[in-house]
Amino acid sequence: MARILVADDDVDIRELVEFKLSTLGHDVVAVSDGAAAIDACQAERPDLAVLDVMMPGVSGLDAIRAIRADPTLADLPVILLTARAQESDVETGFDSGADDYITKPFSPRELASRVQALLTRSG
Amino acid sequence: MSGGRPVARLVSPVIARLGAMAAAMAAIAVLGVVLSTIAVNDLTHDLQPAAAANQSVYQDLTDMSAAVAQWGSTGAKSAADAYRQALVRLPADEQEVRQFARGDDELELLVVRQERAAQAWLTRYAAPRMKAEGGTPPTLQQVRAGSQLFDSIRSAHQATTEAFDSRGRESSTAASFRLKGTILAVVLLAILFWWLVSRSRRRLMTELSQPLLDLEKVVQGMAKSDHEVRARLAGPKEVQAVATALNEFADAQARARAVEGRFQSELRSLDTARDDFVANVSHELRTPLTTIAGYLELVAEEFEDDLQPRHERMLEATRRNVTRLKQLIDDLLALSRAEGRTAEMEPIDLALLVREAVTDVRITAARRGIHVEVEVPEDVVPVLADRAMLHRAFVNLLTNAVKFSHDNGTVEVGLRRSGATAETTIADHGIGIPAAEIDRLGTRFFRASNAVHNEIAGTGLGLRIMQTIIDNHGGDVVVDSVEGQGTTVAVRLTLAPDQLPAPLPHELLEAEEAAAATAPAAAGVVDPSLPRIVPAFTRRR
Repeated sequence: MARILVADDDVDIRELVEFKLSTLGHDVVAVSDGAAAIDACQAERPDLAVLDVMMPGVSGLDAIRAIRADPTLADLPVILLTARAQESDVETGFDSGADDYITKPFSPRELASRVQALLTRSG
Repeated sequence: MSGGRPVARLVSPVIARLGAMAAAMAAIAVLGVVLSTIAVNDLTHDLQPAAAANQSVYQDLTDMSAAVAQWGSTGAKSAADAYRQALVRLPADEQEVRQFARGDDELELLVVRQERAAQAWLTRYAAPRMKAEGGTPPTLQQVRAGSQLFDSIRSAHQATTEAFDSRGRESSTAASFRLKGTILAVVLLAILFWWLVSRSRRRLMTELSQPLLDLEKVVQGMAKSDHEVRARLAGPKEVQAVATALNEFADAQARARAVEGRFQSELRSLDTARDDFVANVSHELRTPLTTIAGYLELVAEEFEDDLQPRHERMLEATRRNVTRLKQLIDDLLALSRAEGRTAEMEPIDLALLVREAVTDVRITAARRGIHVEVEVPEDVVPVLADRAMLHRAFVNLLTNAVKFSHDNGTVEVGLRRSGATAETTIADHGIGIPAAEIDRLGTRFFRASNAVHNEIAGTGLGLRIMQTIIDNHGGDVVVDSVEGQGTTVAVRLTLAPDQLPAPLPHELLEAEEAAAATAPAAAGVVDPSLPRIVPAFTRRR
């Protein structure tokens, strides 16, 4: 049981992730853009964040950078969601401080296992 | 229109001047020879005979004097004859001398004086003595008078002779002076001629040769791709015309380059736009696909135990088509990248790359009991390649070979060097390709009829992607297939010189040049009996 932040501008995907993670017993906070994600991280103190890369305004990558810049959030595990599967994008994701990376289309089951793995690792 | 004087107008005054000089030299030479000849003629034809006649006059008088003396002492008839003969000769000789002296006042005077002395001697001494009886000796008085008279003849003759000698010397001096003058004039003219020639040569050099040499430098500059160089408008009209034409050509070239540059940049921006478009489309397609696939999974999980077999089949069909759609999007994105990207070449080990690609398909193959046999050299097979792209090409080929094989079949993968090329062959013993359809291989979305019939999944883009990638590598793909027996695909790539793992930049460049140089030769080794993939397919970048 953990508090997880989900940020995605697509309501269906946001709800898909929310459904799946709720089914597993997690407390899910869902937002629809990067700026809200940063605010929610500071306000809700989640145990893990799932961020979509391509969001209007503040992108997922920008949001990670902002989160990592906050010392209290520096250790927050972050999973990036993206439709872009190029190697360079993956590298950019890790460079900006993501802990894991899932490309769309992804299976909810796969996402759930990645989330579980990261939560276990971070204790 | 270009200025300057035409070459003809530049050269003709020079030629005219030189011609005039040559004519003047010839005229002076002729004149000198003529004048010298006249002087020599004067000497030999007029003066010398006249001088001889003058001597004859004196000789006649001397003869007469001797005859008179002999007549006086002996009265011999021979003396009277000699006197008469000399008397006859004298007027003729005197006449000749007088003729020559005419016009020469000094000489005329001397000649007249000589004639008068002779006349005086003849009338006052010789004639009276010859009239006297032969053998009558002259009186002392007569002797004195005769001697005096003859003395005046002698002195007059001496003066005349000296005058003649002086005339002869003058004439001779004049002839030699004219000759020397002529030689001097010709030499002076020759020097002038030489000076003129060298001055004209210098002038032609500066006005004709130098502009031409300048033009040559400009052309050489243009040949070395110096786009800024322009010809200077100088020299004769013709050279300026060439210079103008050259400059116009260079300007046209510059304009063409500018247009080409614009085209290139437009093409690049089109390429970028296409890449962006494809990336966006792929993102936009993947997002709903994620939702569909995700909810499908959730639904399947929620109703896991309540599903009837027909519901299972419905869900399975939906799932299968979602997978197909996902594969299609992946392939379209891969094709767009392969077509749009300039390969980033680096030296790689083809043997290793082929082994890795085989590893990627082994699990899929094993699932259907298909064995993949690999015969790849242990040592490094170096080629210049975009590693990720080439890997994708071989995975596509291997996936096809496995996909179209029968269950528990065999796929054989081989790699061998052949001259400057490395040939990778992937052979299966599967369904093969109908002969009538082999030419359409590699057309977008083309799928062999037997594959469709056998419900073998596929997007019809895999071969196209593979061919595009091999094209980018300057390679060749040859497909040999018999329906029902199997397909063999041979991929030929140009070997890079041994330079693994980290080449120096100039070596890379050389390798690329070598690859470019040997690529057509590599294409030439293709066995013509094997069908090539559709021509549109083998285009080169």
